[in-house]
Amino acid sequence: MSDDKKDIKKLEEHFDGIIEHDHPLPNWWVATFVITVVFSIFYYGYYELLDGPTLDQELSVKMAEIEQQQKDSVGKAFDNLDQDVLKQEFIDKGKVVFAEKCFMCHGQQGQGLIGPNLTDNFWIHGNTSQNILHVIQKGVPEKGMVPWEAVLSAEEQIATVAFIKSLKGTNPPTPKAAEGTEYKD
Amino acid sequence: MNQNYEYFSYDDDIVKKFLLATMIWAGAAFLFGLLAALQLAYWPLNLNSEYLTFGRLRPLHTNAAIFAFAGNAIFAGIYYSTQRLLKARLFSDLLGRIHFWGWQLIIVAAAITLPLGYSQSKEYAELEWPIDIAITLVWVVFAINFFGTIKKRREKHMYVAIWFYIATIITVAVLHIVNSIELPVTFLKSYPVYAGIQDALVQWWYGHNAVAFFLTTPFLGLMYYFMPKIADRPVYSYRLSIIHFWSLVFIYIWAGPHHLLYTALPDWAQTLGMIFSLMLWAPSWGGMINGLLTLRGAWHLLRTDPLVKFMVAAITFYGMATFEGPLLSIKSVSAVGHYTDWIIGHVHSGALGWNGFLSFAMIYYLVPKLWSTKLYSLKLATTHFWLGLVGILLYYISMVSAGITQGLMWHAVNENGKLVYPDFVETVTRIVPLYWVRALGGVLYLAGFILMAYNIWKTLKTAPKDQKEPTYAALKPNFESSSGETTHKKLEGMGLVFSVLSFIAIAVGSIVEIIPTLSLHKYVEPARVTDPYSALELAGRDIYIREGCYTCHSQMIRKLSAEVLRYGPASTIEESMWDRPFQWGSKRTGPDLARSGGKYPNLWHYRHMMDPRSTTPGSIMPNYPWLYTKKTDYLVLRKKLSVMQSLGVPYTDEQLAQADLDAQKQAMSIVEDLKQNGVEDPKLEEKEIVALIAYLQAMGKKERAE
Repeated sequence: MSDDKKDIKKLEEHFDGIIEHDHPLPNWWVATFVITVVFSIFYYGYYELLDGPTLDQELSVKMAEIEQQQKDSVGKAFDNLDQDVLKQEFIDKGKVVFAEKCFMCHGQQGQGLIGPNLTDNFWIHGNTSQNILHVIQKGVPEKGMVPWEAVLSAEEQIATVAFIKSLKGTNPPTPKAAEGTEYKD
Repeated sequence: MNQNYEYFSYDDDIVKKFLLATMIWAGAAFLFGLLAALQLAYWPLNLNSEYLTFGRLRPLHTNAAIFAFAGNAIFAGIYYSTQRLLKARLFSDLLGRIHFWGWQLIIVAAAITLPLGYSQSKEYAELEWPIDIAITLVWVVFAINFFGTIKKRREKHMYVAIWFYIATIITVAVLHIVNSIELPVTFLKSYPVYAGIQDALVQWWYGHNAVAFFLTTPFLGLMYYFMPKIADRPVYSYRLSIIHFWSLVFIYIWAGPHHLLYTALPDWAQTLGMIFSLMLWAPSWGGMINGLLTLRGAWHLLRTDPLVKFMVAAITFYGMATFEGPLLSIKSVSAVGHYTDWIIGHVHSGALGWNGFLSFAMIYYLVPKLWSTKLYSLKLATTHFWLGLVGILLYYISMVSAGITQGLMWHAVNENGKLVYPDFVETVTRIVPLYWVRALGGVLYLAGFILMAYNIWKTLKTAPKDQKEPTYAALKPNFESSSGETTHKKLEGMGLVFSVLSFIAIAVGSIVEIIPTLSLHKYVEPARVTDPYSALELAGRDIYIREGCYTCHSQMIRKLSAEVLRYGPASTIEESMWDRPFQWGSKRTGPDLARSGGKYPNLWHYRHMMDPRSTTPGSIMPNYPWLYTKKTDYLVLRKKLSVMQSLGVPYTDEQLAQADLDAQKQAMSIVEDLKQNGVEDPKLEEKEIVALIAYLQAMGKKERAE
């Protein structure tokens, strides 16, 4: 036993030999702490105890601004709708929009898929340019047609109407069955 | 020989076990992370497999990283340092082994159940109720073993590392138990007692403090032990350690609601979350200062010693992450950063930098010591360091760029009051190249780890075969407090009092924030009646939860104008008042779904879940072909509704009795609609896709004004 004890290490040091100095707290650190605490007290006081705006109030102010901007911007963009939809430049532009946003539901050639066929004489919500524009803008939520007003610019909306009108009578393969009322112009 | 000496040895075998487990699970966590990263860059890597799809892989990755890798590292480090700091062998060898094997079994159970889709969908608390109970039991075993060791210590005062361990053990127990209160439905399915804003608040109180008390406080304790040991330098400031310990523990617990800014959570709770996050900045940096300044006078070690490199980088990443955290908690910054990859970058600078590098330094330090040998190659360790560092930097920079880019795109509104990028998918395809950069960062980090595994394996091979536990001798100290001690010094000699005070420190914030929302009715406007989900919708909701849809889709339109423009009116408290669990989400890899109900026809969803690119070109969402073959479990619906009823959801007894019949009826009506639109699929009404469509169509449609 006494021989063994030579191998035994006596643990005289504290904390496994780790020494702790006791430097003062850095001033900049104390300042940071104090500033964040003081700021926090004022911040909470203003927003939660005094008359600071709630998140709902901030949102409604912002939304009112945006709605005004939207109203102002619509202006006269749609005044010449009936003439514009006949122009080739609009039809070409509309083709691009259709290939990006519409074909998933209405088919590559407008033959109909999830949504109705756009190439026949049958229309569910009317066949005038105004009717089509309205469906594009507001959608038909109960049938799953998405409103595009927020997504497409006024010019793109007109172009899309133009392209859709140009599809009439193209007779693509595998058309979806007719839906709605027949319009014989 | 002095007769008062007591002789003892340390239980280092348990430390070795936890260290090896750390290495094994680290590899798993990194691999899962890399695969998940690649899936986001290249969706076909979801492999059309139900078990490996991103929604199920992501919880597996986070659980493996936090509880398997970091967890085992913590246990190894705590068991090693506690014995030495207290001059006492662990309270019980047996409890240590129960702790070890129990924890590994829990990890295995997680690795089996998560890919199978058993998930509560509460982040970092996904595991189902039997595993929750097992975690509680194993944690109690750990606590008994730890506090028992404090009880039999031969060092009068507890060193700062022990304080952090005490706070960790107490707080994790409280967090886990409170957040996991749930009612079982079946063996592996449960519903939480909390609903809507309650569930959101409790979950993020838990989630945020899992980061605080599982990934921060224990690692600060490890830093206070291993940094001075590795550098062989004194700790910078004892008084700083006192101030930053108590302020950190007290303040951290309040900060959870910063995950919920601009949501339907009441304003006061959000503001508390923000200001306590700001006040947390200095306490966090107190730890960084004490860690880094321990090196003062020995900065040259940074050039020569890879262990010091790992340590200093770890502490630096800790400092960065704890500066960025308060920054991201400022409401207007959160508006842009939340739901984006900025947050992913933020947590990975913490996880890979702070937790990863500190664990690596600890392992490189401990393995040669425990196995009485020398590290095989310092050069390899240095290479590991540089690979890891470049990996983290690529990861962080790419994700912060991706997050800020996407956040600004989401919020861009032009002078006409319209969204500049109205197509969500456009904001996704823009950042896919950055997903590749992130994956490259992951490859480098993993490569560094493989070098480490090789280095450790070679080191172990040089270990002498027969190793005896050395015996130590120490005097039993006089535990009575002496007059020369400061108050805090006295406290350091009182294990129980110290623990009770730590508990009180974390209880204050918890109580102030959670208790008011427990009476949810106070916040609900009676005029806004919300109907509970129909039986089929509930079945679909549970599929949504199983597939981890919440890992990429939020259901919370924040009170921000750009979100209202994109998704519709801001979400209300009432809309999620029956939601158990809540599904607000924390990341938008895909768009918010809170108001997706009725937006598209059933056929759209039918095609979209089969192949998202057929309806949304450019989408990176996985395909879900198994939803078209697996059958909805109609029979369990009565049980599900009855558990919901007992939790206070207003289902009538008639609805309970008819649950499966009602669900089948609703399924038939959806199938009729699909048939009319050309879907031909026999027995479609039995399939899960129909239940999921019912749920997707119900989102945002359950509230009605009276």
